[in-house]
Amino acid sequence: MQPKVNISFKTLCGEALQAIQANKARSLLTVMGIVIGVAAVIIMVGLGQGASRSITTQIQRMGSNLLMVFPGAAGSQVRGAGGATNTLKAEDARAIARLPGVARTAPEINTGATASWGSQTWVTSVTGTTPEMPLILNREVESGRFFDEQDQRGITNVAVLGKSVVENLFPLGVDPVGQTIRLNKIAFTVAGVLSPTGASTMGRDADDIIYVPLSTAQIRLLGVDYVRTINVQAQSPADLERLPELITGVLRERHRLPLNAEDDFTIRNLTAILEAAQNAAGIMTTLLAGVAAVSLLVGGIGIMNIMLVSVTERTREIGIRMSVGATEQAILLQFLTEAVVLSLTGGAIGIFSGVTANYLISALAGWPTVISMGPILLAVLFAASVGIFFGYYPARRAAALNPLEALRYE
Amino acid sequence: MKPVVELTGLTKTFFLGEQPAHVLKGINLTIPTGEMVALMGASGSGKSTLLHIIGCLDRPTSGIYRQEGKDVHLLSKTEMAGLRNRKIGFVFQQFNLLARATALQNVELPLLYAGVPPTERKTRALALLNRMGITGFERHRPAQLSGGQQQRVAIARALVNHPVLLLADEPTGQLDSRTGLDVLALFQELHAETGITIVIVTHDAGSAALCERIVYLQDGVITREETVNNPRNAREELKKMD
Repeated sequence: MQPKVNISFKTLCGEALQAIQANKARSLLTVMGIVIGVAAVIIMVGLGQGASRSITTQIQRMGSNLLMVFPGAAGSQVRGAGGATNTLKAEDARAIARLPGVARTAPEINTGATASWGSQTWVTSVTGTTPEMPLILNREVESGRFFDEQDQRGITNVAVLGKSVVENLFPLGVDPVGQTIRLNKIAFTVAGVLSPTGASTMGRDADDIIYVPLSTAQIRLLGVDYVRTINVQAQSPADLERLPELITGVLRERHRLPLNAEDDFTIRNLTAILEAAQNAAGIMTTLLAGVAAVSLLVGGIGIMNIMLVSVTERTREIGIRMSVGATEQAILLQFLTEAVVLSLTGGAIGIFSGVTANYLISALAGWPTVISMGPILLAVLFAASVGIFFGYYPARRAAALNPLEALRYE
Repeated sequence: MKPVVELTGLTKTFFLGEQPAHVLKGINLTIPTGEMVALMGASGSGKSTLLHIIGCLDRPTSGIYRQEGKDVHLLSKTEMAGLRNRKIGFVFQQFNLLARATALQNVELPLLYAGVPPTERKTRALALLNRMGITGFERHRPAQLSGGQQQRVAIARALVNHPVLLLADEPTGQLDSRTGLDVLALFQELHAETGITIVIVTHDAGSAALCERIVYLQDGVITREETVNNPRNAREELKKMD
């Protein structure tokens, strides 16, 4: 006679559900640990992936193969203090543009300005740059045009507005193109409006900006001859690796730095910085999910505890079942099924709470969250394993009972 | 035909504390198929232990137990469970019903472990409950039933998987005499209807007199066996009482 469990899986699940329902309040408290654990894993991973994704979006929006050159030495504490920030000139950008492997460059200088149209005013930031800027930043002109080389040379007062500026300056139905606005009381003609990017870069609204020709900004708005940043787009990732050295050579030569002098500029690979930030976000996600997973473990121990109590409480029931022919295997399976059904129920409640919490966080706090199948499947798998692992020992104890002793148990 | 139960030199010793307790000291007993037999003795005589061994709830320390010619004392735990499920129906003094299950679910329980499909389980359980005279109480839990009704549910559970052997350990011990007689009448009727072999453990001579044979136990040995020539008829006695 081969040992065999005749009892069907469906019947086992039915018996398990019945036992769980018989003690609803206790069952719910038992699975609380699993619920919190699973929910925590899903929330943490959701937030972490949301952060990673928003960084990825920023990288994509920023334009690819981008280097930024800033004035002042790297790590210098006197950046922004006097002469150190005046070293970069528009001519430097043109020199860099002639290097092999450089697709285009765009120097820029920024200032805050009060824009006004009629009686409407709006404080925003103004960037003076060259016509290459929209190509580097992947920005498109929605209506009108971006300024060109002619505007640059002619130092004309033209402005290209971001969508947020348009919304704050012009009433609905007014076409801003061709209108005259004032920037710090100087009249500018609106040449075009940029398509919205929809989101912010580094916490700033990327649509709350006005672009004017670099020469106009330098002479008419600021009265300076230097630039704050030179954006450099390389032709390929390989060029991106190579370019800092070439740029350093050109700039040192142009700035006539002696051999022992420090660079008076800094080259940053913003893509690399964002990628590092993304890695950091990934590590944070893993760590947080790990901490959350510990609560799953604690939840599992809770299940084991209750299952052990349950086995003791139900010794007589086990005896009765054995007396009518339940094999050790059937008893083992019954209690194991109970533990797994418990932990899976907890897992399901946890998934529901976690996903709901993620939606609420997105909706209320505005943090980006991502709900993907990965962590959900992982949580379910983990919950089931917790059930099997922590349910096995109590189930084993139940199955090992002697039927006669179990029947006599009071 | 092989006898249902054949015991040869059966002993049982419990080791509790220092002194081993020899509860059964060499039992030789044969119960042919279709017999209704009483095991009688004072408490401590070993009659319950003997019934537990016959019912595969316990194992003998030594000796041979053959059930329908098959060596039971050599079987594995799983195989013993199989015998309890398919060959043996056990009725206890304390009924031993699952408290949180309904009467119907209790009766279905052995079929669960026999792998019988749900609809057939229900049909068979309902039919037996009906035969036991507890129609209308199928959805009641044991606590909502009287002692007599609970024991009837327990008997239905014992019979639901068509066993060859029905064992009862002091089945009337928790019941008043009238209800007890009613339960015994049920055993007699089942015996007459189906010819099932029945072993009843009792310390009451009146109950024993309902059986065809009485085996007397004292201090772990069979002291006497007696064939009852004219067993009492419980049902008729009940009718006279009314």
